[in-house]
Amino acid sequence: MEQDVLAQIVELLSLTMFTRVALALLLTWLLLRVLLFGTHKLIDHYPRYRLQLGQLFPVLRIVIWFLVTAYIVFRIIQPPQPVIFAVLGSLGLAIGLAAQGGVRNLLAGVMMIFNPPFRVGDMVEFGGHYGEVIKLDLSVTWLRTLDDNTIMVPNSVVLENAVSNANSGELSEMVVVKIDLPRSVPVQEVQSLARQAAIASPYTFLKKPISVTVELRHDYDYLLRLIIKAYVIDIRFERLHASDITGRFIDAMHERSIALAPPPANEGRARQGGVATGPAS
Amino acid sequence: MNDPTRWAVTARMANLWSAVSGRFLQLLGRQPASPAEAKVLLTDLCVAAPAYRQQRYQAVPLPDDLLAAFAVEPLAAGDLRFIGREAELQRFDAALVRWRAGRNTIIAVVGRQGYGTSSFLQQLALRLEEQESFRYGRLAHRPQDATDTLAMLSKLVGCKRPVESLEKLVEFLQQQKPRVIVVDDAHFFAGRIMGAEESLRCFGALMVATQSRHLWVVGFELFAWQRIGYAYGAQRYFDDCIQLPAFSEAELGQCFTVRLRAAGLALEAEAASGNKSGNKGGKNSGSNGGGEAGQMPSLLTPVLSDLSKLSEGKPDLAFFYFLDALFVGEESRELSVRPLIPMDFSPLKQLVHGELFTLAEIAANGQLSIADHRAVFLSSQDSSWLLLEHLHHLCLLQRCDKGIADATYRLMPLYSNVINKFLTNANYLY
Repeated sequence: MEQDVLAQIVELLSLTMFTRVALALLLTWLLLRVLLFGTHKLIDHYPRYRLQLGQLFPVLRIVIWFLVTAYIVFRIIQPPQPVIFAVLGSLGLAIGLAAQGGVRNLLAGVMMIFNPPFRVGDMVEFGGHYGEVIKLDLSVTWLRTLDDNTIMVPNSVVLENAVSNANSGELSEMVVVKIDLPRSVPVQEVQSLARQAAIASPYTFLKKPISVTVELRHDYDYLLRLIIKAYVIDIRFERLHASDITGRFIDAMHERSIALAPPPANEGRARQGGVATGPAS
Repeated sequence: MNDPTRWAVTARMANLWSAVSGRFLQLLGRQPASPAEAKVLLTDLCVAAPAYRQQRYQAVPLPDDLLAAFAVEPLAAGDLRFIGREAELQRFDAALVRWRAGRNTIIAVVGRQGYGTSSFLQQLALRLEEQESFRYGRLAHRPQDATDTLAMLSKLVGCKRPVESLEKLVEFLQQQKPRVIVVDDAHFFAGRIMGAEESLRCFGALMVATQSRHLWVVGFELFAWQRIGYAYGAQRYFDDCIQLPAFSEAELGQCFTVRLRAAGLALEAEAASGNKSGNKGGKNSGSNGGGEAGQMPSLLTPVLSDLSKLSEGKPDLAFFYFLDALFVGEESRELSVRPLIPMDFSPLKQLVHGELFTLAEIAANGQLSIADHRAVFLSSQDSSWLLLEHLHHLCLLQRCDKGIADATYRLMPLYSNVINKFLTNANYLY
């Protein structure tokens, strides 16, 4: 029986069949290149919809490969039923054995395409890494961190762990700027300045609300933590946005001669006011 | 195919071939991606500039009275060149009735740059009854601080000397006879500068405090109106917002006709020619005699639809396209019209973030000075000046010359629609 199947497989192999398969693969590759090029052109033309357009290609790619594979198997190779069953059986075994590795990632990638936890262009955090999703492959996801490092994460890891998505397909994203101030600062004036700084930043998306809150915290000494929450117009400017708000706020404080650090008497004991920024999570 | 069309097609084919061959050579590694390519294309924005286009074909210059007929400026009350806007004027009339009945009323009139907001505001004087008083004022610059705001507002409402406090200004206004107070160019209040909120609040408080006595009408540029709504919720204080839409094709036709008539150019040939179809862009054969003036309307008819589409209902752009398409035959000395050639704004895609943000701020604020730009973008004087001058030389900004330090820049009026659309699509303006 096994010998029959092997013989049938050998019979299927021919130069014509290889040529046709190669041609089909080449055409598919070309088609995908054209689609990728077209998607990029569309993104260039409609930058506002780049996140929505960017998620089209991964889906199209898997659909096209599925159809082409079916075409190659059933129209070009046309194997007899025993061969099909034998190959399917072997594949099943291989998938079962390899489920811990590459195939597991592959299956996770397929699941992510039809039920995406994020899209290309989203700002996500997982596994201690925060950055923009730049590419969704079938088995891995590529991130670009704010330090311009590229990080590859296996898709199975993505599915098994919690993922924090900062913008969920939208271009705007909340940016949180935390500024620690001495507790002696005039709270209302400082809040007003922080709000003005957020509104004045050209990167702030004014259609969404801006909030400025304060909280008292203790870190060697009592400090006043100012939390500015504002949306950035485009996720690409997230760091610039946070830095711009902080800069404006500090400048305004200097202009009004409001101290950013505790009085000298506390020196050596108290921790100075500081700034922490980051996306909302 | 006539000469201009052939010229346009040839130029486009040459550009296409140059792009394709360049890309091919780049792929082969024979030609590096040249920075000069971007420079040339960016400079191409100037190709659309009026001065350039005027020189391109005009062997014989267009008649002066024709050019004067299409001068673009805000139209004073009662100017015959003001057409349309009936629905908007009726909305104002309704607000006027409510105000006369004692209801507190503050109205915003909102329009895109070039859609005639200032002209509309000035026409409101004609809607009042004889005994009613009307005061029109426009902001000339961005208020710097509370004192400056009070000084500007004092001048605006007719107070001879600047008052020291808002309370005194309110008191002054409450003693005045009830009147319609129109404030134009209020986009200056939408500045993205630390402290700008204070000026806006001061202005808002003045209006709210005196609305029981006076009818306030405030003219905003559309994006500025949206911005103060998003940032400060200012729209809650207005009872009505009259938005000026783009001009329809019929209204544009009326605009042309009225302007030609006002310039003393005869229109009799219109009925005689009536050649609506065909002759599109070709030599005008419908009018025989009557000279240049008699030919005008029949020249307009075949291109009106295209004018409306290309200009998107923006009169100044429609005027520009029309004048650009007109030429005087060298031998016949008759006016003819060539096909309209759309402007190519694709080089806008090559602008960088800083330039796009600058354009977006100018679009939303109406205009920016170098000092304003420094404050918005936290840049140095030289950087701001360099950037604004660069955009000015790309024909994207118009400079109001007051000397380098005081120069202000605004979007080139003709292109404001296109630039706004581009910025909106690229997510820099909303």
